[in-house]
Amino acid sequence: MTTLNLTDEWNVILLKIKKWARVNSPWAIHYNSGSCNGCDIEILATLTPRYDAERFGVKLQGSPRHADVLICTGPVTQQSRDRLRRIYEQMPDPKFVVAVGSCAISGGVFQGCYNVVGHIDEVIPVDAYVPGCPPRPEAIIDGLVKLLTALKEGPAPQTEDTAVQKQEVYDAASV
Amino acid sequence: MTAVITPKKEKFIVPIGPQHPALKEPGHFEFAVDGEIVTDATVRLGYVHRGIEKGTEARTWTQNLYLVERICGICSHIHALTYALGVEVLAEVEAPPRAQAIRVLVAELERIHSHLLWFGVAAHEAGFDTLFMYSWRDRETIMDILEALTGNRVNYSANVLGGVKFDVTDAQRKVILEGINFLEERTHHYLNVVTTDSMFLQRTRGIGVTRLQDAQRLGIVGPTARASGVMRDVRVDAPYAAYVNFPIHMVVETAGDLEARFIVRLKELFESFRLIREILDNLPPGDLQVKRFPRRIKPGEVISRVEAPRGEVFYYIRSTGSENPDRVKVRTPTLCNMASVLSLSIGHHLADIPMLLVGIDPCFSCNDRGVAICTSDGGHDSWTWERLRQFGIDYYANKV
Amino acid sequence: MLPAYESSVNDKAERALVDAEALLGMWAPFFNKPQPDTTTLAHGENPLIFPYAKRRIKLTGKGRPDGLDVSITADDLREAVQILIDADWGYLITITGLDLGPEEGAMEVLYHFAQGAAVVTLSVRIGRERETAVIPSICAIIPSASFFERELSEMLGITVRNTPNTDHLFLPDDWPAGVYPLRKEFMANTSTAEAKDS
Repeated sequence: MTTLNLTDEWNVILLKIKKWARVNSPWAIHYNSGSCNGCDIEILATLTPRYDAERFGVKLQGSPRHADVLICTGPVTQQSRDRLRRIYEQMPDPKFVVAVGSCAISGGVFQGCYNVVGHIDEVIPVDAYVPGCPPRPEAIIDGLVKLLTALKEGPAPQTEDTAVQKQEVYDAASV
Repeated sequence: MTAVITPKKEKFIVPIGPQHPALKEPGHFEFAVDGEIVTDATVRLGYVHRGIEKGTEARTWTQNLYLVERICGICSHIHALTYALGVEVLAEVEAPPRAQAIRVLVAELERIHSHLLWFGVAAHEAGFDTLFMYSWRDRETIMDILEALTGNRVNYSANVLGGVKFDVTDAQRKVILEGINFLEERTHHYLNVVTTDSMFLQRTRGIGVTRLQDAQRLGIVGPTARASGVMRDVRVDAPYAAYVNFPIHMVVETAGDLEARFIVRLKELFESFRLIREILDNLPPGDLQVKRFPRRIKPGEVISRVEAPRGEVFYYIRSTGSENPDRVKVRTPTLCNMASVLSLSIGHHLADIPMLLVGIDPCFSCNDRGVAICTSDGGHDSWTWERLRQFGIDYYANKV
Repeated sequence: MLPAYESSVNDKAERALVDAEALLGMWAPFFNKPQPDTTTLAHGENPLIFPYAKRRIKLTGKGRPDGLDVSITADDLREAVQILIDADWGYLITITGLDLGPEEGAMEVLYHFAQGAAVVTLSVRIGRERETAVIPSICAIIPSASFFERELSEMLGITVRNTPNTDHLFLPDDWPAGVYPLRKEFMANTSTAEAKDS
């Protein structure tokens, strides 16, 4: 396989173009791993005229092989687990995962039920979590926009204060 | 649904890529085709099986209210209502009349949102995306009303055991009535489209006809049954909550085809609008909840039946006197109607399958987005739902 | 309150139940046995198993007598279902399986039929062991019962004789054999991983 031997400047420009395309027009794919549909209808509502996610460049389409972002809902049921992995593997790099809804984050009300794995991040790595039962379309858009911003500018740097707070919470919890 | 399953070479697991957002719950349909005509159909469900019935046994009576609400996000109030009504009968407690009326109010609002949702999805399956966008834009009116009334757009949690959580204020009344007026106008327009648009009619008139006898024999429920002339509606047959005081008229069509199913659901919207206005004008005064609701429910069994937007929801609840239920059995309407789709699809063109399926308004906890096609010469192919859907659209576009 | 409407619904329910009792008349000599006092039930005791008793359970709707429970044996099941279907009495709502627990040593299968507001429940008591947890299929009479029977067999381990399809309906294909989620031994908060190990 031949590799392109570009000078550094070209590489930088190429990377910038790729990032611009990825950030400004992420193609998303939606997958329901066993949810009650509440989150799914809110995701669908983000496409409809009132919320219209397409103006942010998010296009929801069908095949995992064309997608940059996987929007996933539901506590993963046993049957869905393999499918979820397979979809994730079929997506080309770089890929991002947004877990929508309380069930996707922790199992929601179904924690402890048999046939439910619980967290999506036990099956595939997740980049953004949108909590809610179900989260409002605005929250879903917010999550997507935060993901895109992180792609563009890198993740928000942790300030002194948040780092200290986190440590305090951690210490208190382990007592 | 045939009794004999055509032997297949392998059990095909289709990689699912949800086609259109919404309702993608994987599931697995297999259609055996002979040329263009379907000769056999089977379905493999279970992808959304979360073990809820077992889960109810580990939670208290009150906690279960929140669990059963999330069996389905589209008809969550109905599930909570059926459960609450059943437990109240077991506990021999009756919710006050104002609470019952508010429960019915929210149930009818939910019916409106669900029918509009279905309408958009059905239009999308037929390739009519403009109608999908319009109906979902109009649906936002109901979502606003529900949010103003209950605090959430989905999963409203209106019920408590023994009553409801909130009251209807005058400002909310105004908002609801304005929203209903707007939607009524829009529904007239949709009914017009459905009965006069020639492309739409091509895909719905005469397709998927279920005769009266078959509908009765197969145990179909809900608007799908009423579209075939079966007079079956739990709100009329066995009125619960405040339906005794605010009766509903059954909407029945006789054609039994897809067009009839569209018409029944749109006409039910008019009934819902009428009922909501009536309730708002005649809301009985009084408390919203009973004063005390027992923690332990007396032993006994109860059967609770309620009309969800999709059909009859049935709960069998058994108590042995403790803080947790002994058994909660839930039967949702889509499971019954699914059997009818499978038997219906035999003899139809492959192109009609997406519309047939959407015609029963599957609560996508049972819907399937992966399709395996087996041809009579032993060929085996797997399609995504999107491909099947597009096949249907193209088939009819070329037929003209 | 619309008394005329409500009483007409109650009347219809009453008539439907009277019809059902007439249809199931061969078990009539056992109807009208005195009912056990449910408040004195021991934990786990099921009043439904009182042989061939007629009992009305209050369904939703205060004071509406609209439920008939008939307790029959597994051998009589198909006949009873055939009688109801031939007379066009109602439709099968669903089939419920109940595990009464290892101390009781029995399971129950309930067949619910509805006509308007009236619900007739045929209940059959069977054992919990592999040889005794057997019930005949009613798919020859009501084909759409197949889904419900599949659920019974995978959730409770009941063998439904002559049912056309025994594939799993809801449980995954790789669910461990012999583990029945709705049985009392299966703890409600077992995670799937633990189930697979058990």
